[in-house]
Amino acid sequence: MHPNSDPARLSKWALLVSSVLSIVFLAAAAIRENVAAEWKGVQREYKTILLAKSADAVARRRAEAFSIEIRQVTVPALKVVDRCVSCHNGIEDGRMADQSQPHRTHSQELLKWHPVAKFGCTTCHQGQGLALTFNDAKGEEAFWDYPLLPAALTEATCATCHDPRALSRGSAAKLVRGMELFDVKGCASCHKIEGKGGSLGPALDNVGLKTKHQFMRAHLSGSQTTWNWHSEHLRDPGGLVPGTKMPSVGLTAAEREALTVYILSLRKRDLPEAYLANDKIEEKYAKLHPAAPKGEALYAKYCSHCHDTGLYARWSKNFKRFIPAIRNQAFLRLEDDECLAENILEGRPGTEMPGWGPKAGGLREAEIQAIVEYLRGETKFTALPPAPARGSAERGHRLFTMNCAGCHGVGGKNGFAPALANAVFQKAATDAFIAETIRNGRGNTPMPSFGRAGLGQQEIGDLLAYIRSLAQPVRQARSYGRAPERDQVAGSEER
Amino acid sequence: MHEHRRGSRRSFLSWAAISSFCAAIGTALAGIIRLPKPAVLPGPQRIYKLGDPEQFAVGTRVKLETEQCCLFRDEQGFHAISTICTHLGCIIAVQEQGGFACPCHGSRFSESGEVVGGPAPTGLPWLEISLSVEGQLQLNAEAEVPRGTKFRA
Repeated sequence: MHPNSDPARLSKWALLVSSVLSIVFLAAAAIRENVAAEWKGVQREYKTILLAKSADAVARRRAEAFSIEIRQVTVPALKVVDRCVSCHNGIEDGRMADQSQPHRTHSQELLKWHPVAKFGCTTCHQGQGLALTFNDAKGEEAFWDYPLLPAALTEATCATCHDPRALSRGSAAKLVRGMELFDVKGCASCHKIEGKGGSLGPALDNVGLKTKHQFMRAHLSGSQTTWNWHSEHLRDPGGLVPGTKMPSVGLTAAEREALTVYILSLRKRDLPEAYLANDKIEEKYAKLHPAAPKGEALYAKYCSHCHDTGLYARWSKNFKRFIPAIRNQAFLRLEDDECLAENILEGRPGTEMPGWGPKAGGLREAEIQAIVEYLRGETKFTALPPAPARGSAERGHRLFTMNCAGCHGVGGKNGFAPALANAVFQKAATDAFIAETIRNGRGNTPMPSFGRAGLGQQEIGDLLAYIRSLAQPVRQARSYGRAPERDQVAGSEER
Repeated sequence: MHEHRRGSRRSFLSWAAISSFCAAIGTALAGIIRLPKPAVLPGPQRIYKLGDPEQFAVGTRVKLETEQCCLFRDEQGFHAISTICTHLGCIIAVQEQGGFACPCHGSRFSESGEVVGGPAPTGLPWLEISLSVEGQLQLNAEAEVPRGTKFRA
């Protein structure tokens, strides 16, 4: 046996080493939590600034009484517990205007109307209010649903309690610009807000409260926040969502930012009434009592994105078909107001044109009437020459295949010209209208004149018979639309 | 001699191992004992900033609804009296002719908060008033001060 050997020697060393390691670890944790905490350092620094800025003995005494502790704002009505003020100690102190963050004074004008004690911080800025380090408070990396909004986008939350257009001195100018862009660029052609708008894209009522996990981010590089997603998606929709029908809208970087602010502002929060500003209440009231609709503005908002000026037929890359020229004089001379209204009301099932009636696109009858008046403009409906009698559908079929199917599609559907095998078309178009269009074509669109190309009255009659056999017209009761005697005429034509 | 030194080295190792083990346990326990007492609770704190002290002229006697107290200012300074009844917690009315009256069970209090009549067991507490760092009048409705304490800004 070795003279130095102690049977417990190894265990003693093991105990010593593990205990010392534990003590070091615990001490480090204690220092990290109690001494080196980020907010404690910030408050010590703030206290030095306070002491340096104390002009007289009273201010000095107050500065010395500044205790280093966790501070928080609690607003139960908004479910807010914000510890941001543990580091941003100087937000209410006008003397801190020259300091750098986090000590700097908040805009006093804004705080005057939005006292921290009533609103908290995260109500406007988002972020994780309970956090005590800046990284956690931002909440961008963590699983926090609403990370701190960058300063450039903070206006988005104004609309929760305000009508941004009513705010004085353009304090929400970017948000207002975004709202205008939404109308000007015709976003409502595809996206519904509060039940009004097209149906090709998703409704956007509450999109500002969506979390990043609700967006497709497989192709999103850089910041994974919702605002980066929106900005990138506006720049290149197909790049983020392959196969999307959303077109690239063609916006400048500033416009993208404004529109992103508006998109983020779309949030339905159930707030206590005391938090709604008067202008917000007026905005809600105005929505219930809308002014007389203006056709031109409605056209720009809901129609122009696809139909553009409406003067020419337009090829749509996304839809892979022609979009009809609905303000084209050649078209308006052939189609009367009731027929126009019918098409807007019902849309064209089976194509990208949605219905815009009260139960579909959310437009009121007065608004549809205003759009019809705008489309009509100065062009009068001229009485059409009577249609030739319907001939043989069989001969019509052959003629259709030779002359029409190339654009209108075999069987009058799936072509890139307007679908003829369509219930609403069958209801809205009269025989005289169809015959006249075949005979003379349609100016400013790819539809040529087949009369000049040699189709006679009888052949047009045959085509009519075939086209009428393509689909049954819609039949449904409705309070709005054509006069009953016209229905009877249309019915007699069909037999 | 040699034998003795080896023995002392051996016992020193035992002593160091055991005492460091105890120290580790002690440190851990100290940390654990702190846990039940959080630095701050997420509940609402009844500390209110009332703004510039100069907006309250000498002779002010105003009922503050959200803060649930009555704020006074006289020549000696500021004081605030809670308007929560010490009987069952009703909100007390500030009477124009002076004093306080509880509408629930008819407790009456004098202008300085002492019980004058009714079922209230104790007088109304005086609340702590101070100046915040940026110079606003600050009311701490969670802290009581002895009756008669007045705050001079």
